[in-house]
Amino acid sequence: MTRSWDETLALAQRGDEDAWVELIGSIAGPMVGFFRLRAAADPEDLAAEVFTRVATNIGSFSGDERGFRSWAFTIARRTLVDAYRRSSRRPVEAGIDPADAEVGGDRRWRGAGDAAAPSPEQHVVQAHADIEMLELLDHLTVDQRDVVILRVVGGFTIAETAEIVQKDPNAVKQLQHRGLAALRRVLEASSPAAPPPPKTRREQDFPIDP
Amino acid sequence: MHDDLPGRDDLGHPAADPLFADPFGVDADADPRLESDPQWRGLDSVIDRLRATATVADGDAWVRQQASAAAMVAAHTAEVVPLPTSGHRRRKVRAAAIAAAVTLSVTGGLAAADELPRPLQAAVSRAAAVLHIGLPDGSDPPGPGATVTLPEPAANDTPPSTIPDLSQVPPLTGPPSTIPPVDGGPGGEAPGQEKDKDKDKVPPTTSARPAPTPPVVPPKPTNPPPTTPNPPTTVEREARDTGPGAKGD
Repeated sequence: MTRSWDETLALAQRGDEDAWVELIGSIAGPMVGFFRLRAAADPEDLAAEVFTRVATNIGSFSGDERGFRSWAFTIARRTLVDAYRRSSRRPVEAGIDPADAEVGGDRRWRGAGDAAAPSPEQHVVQAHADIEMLELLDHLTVDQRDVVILRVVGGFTIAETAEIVQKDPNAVKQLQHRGLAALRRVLEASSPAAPPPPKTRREQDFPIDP
Repeated sequence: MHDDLPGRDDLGHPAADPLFADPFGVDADADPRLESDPQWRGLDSVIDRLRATATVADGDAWVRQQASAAAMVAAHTAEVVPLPTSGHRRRKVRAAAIAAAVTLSVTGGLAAADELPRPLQAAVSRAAAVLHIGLPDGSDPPGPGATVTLPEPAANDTPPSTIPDLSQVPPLTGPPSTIPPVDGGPGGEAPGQEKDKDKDKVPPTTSARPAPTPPVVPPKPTNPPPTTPNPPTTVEREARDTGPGAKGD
């Protein structure tokens, strides 16, 4: 039996667990991916913090499902900023967390006996892919990175992305355009048989002689 | 025909700068699928790899665990903790409380000093009497230190003069002054000195200020006559003893 969005929201506001499974299940993956691509120290812990904030303020929310996703990612972005501030004030502790040591330093190793859990080989491949993506996104500014991640991972439109990052939609379009251009330049430069990346307008107007 | 011109399109217009042109057109948000967007063309591999990061290991169990915690928080928030009032409402309540406190303080102070208008004073006094606080009701007789407001004089009334009527002042008595005048002005006469006829003339003055009023000296009371006669002196006693009719003659 499928519920309407309004019924799900009303049940979640009253504390129904099944309604919360439905709500969190729709945003958990993109949110963890957002934190992971923003190089957060512990993406799943941050996502759990976001869910707690969402549950605390769910009584004041009204809107449809896409509005709920935008609202949750707005909270996620603020939570990420708070986490950066906390980490800048608190020194990083050296050593290995005993809880992580038994699973190879990553919480994705928990429940390794389950069929749905990734195998060690899959984990290595996934970790390598994450590192590649982080290195690729390092060529973007923070705002460009936010826009690209929200558009790709979150599946938001330009207007929704503008609402989350609290910018004008035209500014978001420009950020996306420049971010994609930068990504394309990096990809073309990294491919072995690719020609050199096209020069920028400044380089064309003011050529630099060696 | 304008194809050979650099920076011009087919019609000869300046070519749009791709950096500042709308890269998505008017219907950019019509289809949120990035694969159909020309701006994302050639980035399919990047899109796939970015989307591959949006996974949660042990997803179902983790989601159910988070949902259970969120449900508890939501139920607790909905049932126990009241929704916080908005900042605007809190500011209004605070401003109203401050205004009420200031009004009560000022009104109470003025009422205690009996400085309020009479109807308001009576009303405040009645209200304070409910709380067993005694305040003047505006009809009490003025105390010794109270100020009495006199009725305003009529327009045709002459204002009372502040200069005392000299006719009611008793004449000066006592010995005349013996201090000679310093600058030749009028002064007292010495005994036997001829009285200056022009002494009472006041020299003309250029000042518009009225002449100073002479000080009013109350008359000195005269010494009452002695009730007992003075005892006779020695001469009187001898005359009495040796005079006619004296005893022993």
